[in-house]
Amino acid sequence: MLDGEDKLIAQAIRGKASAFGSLYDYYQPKIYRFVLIKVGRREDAEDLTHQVFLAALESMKSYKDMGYPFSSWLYRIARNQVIDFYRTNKKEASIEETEPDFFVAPAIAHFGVEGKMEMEKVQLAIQKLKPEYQDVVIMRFVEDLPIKEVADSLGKSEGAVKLLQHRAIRELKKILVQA
Amino acid sequence: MNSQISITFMDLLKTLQQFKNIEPNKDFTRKSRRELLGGSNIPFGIYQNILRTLEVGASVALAGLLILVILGGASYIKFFEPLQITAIDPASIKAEAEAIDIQIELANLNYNESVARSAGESTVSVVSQEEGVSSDDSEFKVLSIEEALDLLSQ
Repeated sequence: MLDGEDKLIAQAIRGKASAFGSLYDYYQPKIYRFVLIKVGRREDAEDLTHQVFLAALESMKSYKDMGYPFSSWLYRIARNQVIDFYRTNKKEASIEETEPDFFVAPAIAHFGVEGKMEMEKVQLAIQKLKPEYQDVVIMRFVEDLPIKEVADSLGKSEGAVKLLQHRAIRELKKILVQA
Repeated sequence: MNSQISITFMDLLKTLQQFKNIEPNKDFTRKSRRELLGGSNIPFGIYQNILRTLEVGASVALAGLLILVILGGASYIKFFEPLQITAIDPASIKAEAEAIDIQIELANLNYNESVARSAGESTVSVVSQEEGVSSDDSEFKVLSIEEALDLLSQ
């Protein structure tokens, strides 16, 4: 959580652009990674990330603190954006037909050949998971979010999230072993 | 088999952690941020709208005030202008000028038109006021230009 986040949120609700800018600076890389791992293509991830923050900015006036972290609200917007993206572009069917370079590769070019290949393999495996498994894997193991925050983002109980993460990892390992 | 799965799981976690190092392209971030915050998409709240209206109103009011100050300043100067004219009253200046005793004697310079005309050349009447001679004793001589120049050269 960002220092002084509550104050920044209150200011952003009142329309203070710099406050929203601070929230953007802190959460944009997280949302970008979340979207990138789910959609694979850097260009799509950039477009969707922008759309997430545009939607957040437009909805800021109506944002109400319901006791959930601000990040869970952003992740929820991001999830909906990705769902809309797949619905309108029908990307699910074309994932395996797409050239590897269109995937996460440009964003991980600096990780070295071996690391890059491993990451691409894992990223493709994540994309084969159910959306809620993807969400749990990314939030819990990539972003290290606490179970409560993930539960708030997904609208599930903490127990349900624990169960989901267990199943997601098991499924992911299965996909990787088969690959 | 179990240890192999365990290693794979650890590797998997390690790989997943590496995804955290992915950063969005800086150009994209800059552009996106500018579009979001620098453009017209900022949905100002009601207070912000009021504040913005007040800002515009205040600017107009200040500009009006400035114009009033400029015009008011000009009127102020005009208001005091008669006083300044009184201070430099032409009548008093004239009286002062008349009070000064100016005695300019031009008696020493004459122009003898008739001689010049008869000689066919311009002549200048020069008053020679010699030392030791009073003004009553001064004589007038009509000299030609050549004579006058000779006298001057001496």
